[in-house]
Amino acid sequence: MALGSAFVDGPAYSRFVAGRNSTRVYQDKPVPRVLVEKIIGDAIEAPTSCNRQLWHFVVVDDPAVKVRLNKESDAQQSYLHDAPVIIAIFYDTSLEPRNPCNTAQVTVGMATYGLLLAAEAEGLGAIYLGGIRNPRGACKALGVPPFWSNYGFVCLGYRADNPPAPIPRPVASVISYNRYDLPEKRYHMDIRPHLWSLTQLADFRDKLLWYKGIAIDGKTLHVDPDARFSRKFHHLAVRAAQLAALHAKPVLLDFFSLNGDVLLQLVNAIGPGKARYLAYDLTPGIGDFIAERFRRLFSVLPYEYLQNPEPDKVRIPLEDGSVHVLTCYERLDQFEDPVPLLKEIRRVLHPGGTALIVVSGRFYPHLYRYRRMRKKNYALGRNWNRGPERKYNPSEIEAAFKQAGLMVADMAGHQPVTLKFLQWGEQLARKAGWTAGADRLAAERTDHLITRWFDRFFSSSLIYELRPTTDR
Amino acid sequence: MNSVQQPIADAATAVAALEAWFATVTSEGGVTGPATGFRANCLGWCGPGHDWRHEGLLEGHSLRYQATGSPVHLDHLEKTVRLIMAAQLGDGSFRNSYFEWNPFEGGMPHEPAMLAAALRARKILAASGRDIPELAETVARALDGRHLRLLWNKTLHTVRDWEISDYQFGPSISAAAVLDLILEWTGWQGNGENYEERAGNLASWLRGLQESTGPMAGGIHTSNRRGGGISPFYTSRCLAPLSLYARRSDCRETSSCVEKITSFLLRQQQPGGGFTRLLWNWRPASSNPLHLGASAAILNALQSQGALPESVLARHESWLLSHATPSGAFRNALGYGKFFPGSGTPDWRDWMPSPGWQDKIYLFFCRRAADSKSTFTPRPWSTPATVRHRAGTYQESTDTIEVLRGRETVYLWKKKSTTPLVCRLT
Repeated sequence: MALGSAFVDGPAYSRFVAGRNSTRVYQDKPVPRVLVEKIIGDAIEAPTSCNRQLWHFVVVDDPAVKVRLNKESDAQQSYLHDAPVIIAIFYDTSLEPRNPCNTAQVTVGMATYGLLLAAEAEGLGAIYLGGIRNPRGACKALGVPPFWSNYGFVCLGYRADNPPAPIPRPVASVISYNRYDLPEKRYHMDIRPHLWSLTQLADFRDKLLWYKGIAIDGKTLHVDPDARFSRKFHHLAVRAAQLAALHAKPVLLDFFSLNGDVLLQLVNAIGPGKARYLAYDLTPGIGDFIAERFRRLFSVLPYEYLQNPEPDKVRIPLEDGSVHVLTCYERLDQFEDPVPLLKEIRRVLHPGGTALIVVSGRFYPHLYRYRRMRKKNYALGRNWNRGPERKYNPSEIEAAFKQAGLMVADMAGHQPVTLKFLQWGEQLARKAGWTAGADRLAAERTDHLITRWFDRFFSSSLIYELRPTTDR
Repeated sequence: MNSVQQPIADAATAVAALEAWFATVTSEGGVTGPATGFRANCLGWCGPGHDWRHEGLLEGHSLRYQATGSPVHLDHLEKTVRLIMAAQLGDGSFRNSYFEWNPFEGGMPHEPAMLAAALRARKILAASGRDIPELAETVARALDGRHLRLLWNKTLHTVRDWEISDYQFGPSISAAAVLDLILEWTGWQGNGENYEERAGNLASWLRGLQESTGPMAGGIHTSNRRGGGISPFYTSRCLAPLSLYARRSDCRETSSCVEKITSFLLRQQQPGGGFTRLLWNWRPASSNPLHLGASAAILNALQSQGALPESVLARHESWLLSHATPSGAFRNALGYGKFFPGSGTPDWRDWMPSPGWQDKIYLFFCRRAADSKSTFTPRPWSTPATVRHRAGTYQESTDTIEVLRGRETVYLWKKKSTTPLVCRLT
């Protein structure tokens, strides 16, 4: 939102800051250097500790340097390639290395926000990119001496997306007068989505789409390809198609569809028009996102979107016993108590129908997750797939199934812990020069990705096939 | 049911046998069947795929039409091209185009490879007065709208496999397939100047991936990561497009690259028949599993360059024929799940015929006996097989493919259907 003129009053400023969004998709249009200089000039009007002004900005607009920067800093974000301009932010911290209030970092933060606001005022889109794994590498890539510290990048360009604005937390919830009045554990508790209220979860899922979303018009967002190109995802889609083939006019429901990935594969597997496809999620925004995605692929939308009608309760707006195949891909992990959801699943499931449910396994050593949880350095958006969601031990989730009136017809494990032993064996065989054996073990590892042996209970994900019991 | 003997004696019978086998798996929607790929299998979904299974079939039927003049082959070409067109999604990708990851859409290099084959088939159709001009729209949507836009890596100047932020990775076979498509497309439309830069980028990318020294000299790395070994099959897929590009652009560097590829492939012939699977700089070459279809594809590529003398072709032909089965299909591979090739009872995956590999064998035999007038009746058969470390049985009839582990049926697919009736294998 470019105002064109100075802020004349408080409300205009409020509108301006509220209208600023991070831009992740950019047009193929260069940004003139004079404009970049103007933006940086505005940004360095920010307050600075003791008026030191020890900042430095390296503007990168050469694609070859972007490649080097990406490689050395290990940023792995698409914006870094797609944005026409990257501004690497440096601050000389050598003069105040032990400041108790980290004034250097605060100063950089203020200047960075200044950059984002100035870009907005000039009609440009921008995003601050702090998820870089190796800030020292950024210094190396740009030839910056070691006494400068890198504090991330700002990607700049003409915007080509229009994501929904996140709703800020209510002011009252972030203010205390004279004395702190929030519960001590609030933030650590809150970062686990299965402890959130349904409204909070709905809002988060709505925004998450634009973070983990899909390619739009040739520009890519930060996407973890693992979800789609994983055997469990493939297994789910394919098994759903097998089960749908048992019914003459199957009705398929994807429970909490989010970006529509599972839904799309159901349509691919069975064919448009050959079944009734239903997508269900919490917000209209998610419905819009799925529709936008499917409109790029199909002239007629091959599915119906069902939105949860109640803000505080999960209720699928369908009649009892109307769904033949229901898919639920790692969605129960977001709820502390899965039983109400399972009861709802049971309610809509046809007496001869099947629910395919994938949950994260409790007895798999999710070392990456636990390490991050212990250090409390997880970030919800980026590590959504690997974050601190709920894990289920098989007996616990099976008890919940039973309580909801669902019986386990089949259960498989995805990525069992035994794969790690096979991997170690393969590595040993390679070291010993026994190539044929190592190849054999590698092949075994691929075959054993989905298992029905005892080790399924020690798998990263548990894949359940559930049928309704006769008595409710 | 009989056990495996050599049921097919010569190339002409092999053509008839494969046509008969393909007829047993072809439904209204196209060629169905499970896929066993290098990296994964797709057994749970067997519907009509729109992947590289069409390559060999389209080219084989084109050769057959040219040799026999039978309209049956023209019908096949037209039907297949129309099926491909109907499978396209709005963003230019195709449904069920990922072979071992079917039913996923957006398969690379399958989509450009399939379209290039469709364009070659269109030439035959057009020459016979059955042109399909609408194919131009399909190709433009895929090539301009997807491969050269959504999948174009502006940093590396090549194509990516996915619309994700995989900016450091450039696979060779996808680049080769898109180059092939560009060359076929510009050959039809006469708009080569519009694609000159991108074609040059892709050819240069492939040249850059060629190993220059050592025992692997001439091989094309599977990607710019270069750590995964060199696959003769993947290298062979670069041969025809690079050769055509060299001829069209009169590029000496590319001509030299083509010569090196040819020499590399000729060196990879196995004494008994077939080609090495993967070569490494740091460890001995891998032969298991040796897909017969991949070897046939290499032979096809070398044949198109006229690089194989008749004696060598005859040796490979007899090697392939020794792996024919009574169903009309050929054995899928050798050495799945084995430490050493040929040791022990074959794995079930060694037998399971996959349409994406059988088509390459079909093309090989069509090149050898395009005017075949032989007939073949598929017969049911069964053979012992290792199934997940246990003794089992693989059996195939004209209607079904079944795998038993002990006495338990762990896989049962009714041919032409989209999903198997039993699928306990992955």
